[in-house]
Amino acid sequence: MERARRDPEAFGELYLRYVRSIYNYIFYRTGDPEEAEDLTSRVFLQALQHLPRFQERGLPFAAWLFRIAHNLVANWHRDRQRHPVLPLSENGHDRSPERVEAALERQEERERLLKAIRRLPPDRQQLLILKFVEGLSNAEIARIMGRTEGAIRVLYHRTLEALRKELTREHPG
Amino acid sequence: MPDLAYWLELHAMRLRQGFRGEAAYPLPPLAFSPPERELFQLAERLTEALRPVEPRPVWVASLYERLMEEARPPRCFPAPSRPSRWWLGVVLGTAALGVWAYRRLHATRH
Repeated sequence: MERARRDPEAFGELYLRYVRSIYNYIFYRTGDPEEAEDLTSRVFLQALQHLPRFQERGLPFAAWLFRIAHNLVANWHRDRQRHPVLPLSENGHDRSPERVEAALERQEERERLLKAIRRLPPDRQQLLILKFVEGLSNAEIARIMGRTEGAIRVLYHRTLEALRKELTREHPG
Repeated sequence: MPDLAYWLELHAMRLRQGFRGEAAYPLPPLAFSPPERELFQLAERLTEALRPVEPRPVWVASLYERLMEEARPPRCFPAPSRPSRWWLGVVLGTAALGVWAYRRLHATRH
């Protein structure tokens, strides 16, 4: 980290280590691969710009990156509420009709779940992404989110309860 | 008896290890009530839905290049050295003296 402040190559190493995690986090928060690329770029450009001010006061570099990403995604959602746009396609990639038909049912189920996740409060979304996409332990998630391990365990339980209610509300019975 | 949050945590760990269905439960499923079992099933659905996605390698590489470009110190033009400043002063001084002398000569002729 100290080396990254003086040496561009060292910052490049940090970038290569965390780019996938930050991209995944933003992808699942936005549901849009192009926006995920754009916002991930902004995360690392901001991190580079503010690197001299970053001090490791118990906050690891990954946690700092996730906080920048979290703030950028929050701004992105706020801007979209002001200027809503209609998506051109669900996932941005073309597929043959046969493959679409075969995957449709599974895809619909997944989309329904992902949409329900995106309606949860941001901290609960973050917890699910760090736990399931990144496969992080509660200790690691606690450091990133600035909470205790016990608080993360309780938050996970409450998040599952909230998600179940969200899915039931959408499709009662 | 540990609370449900504890069992859900153990279940999540077993899901991460690759267990699915009843095999992922920390206790026999009947030890839990139907609403509790729904939470275990939901966690399993999340495991299937929230899979890591790979960013485009071309994009990863191009952002790397851009960051390296930004990270490099900006190029500066070298500041004029002391002797060249001295010579610049001599040239400007001589030119100013020349103009003054020319004007003075011109003024005396008229």
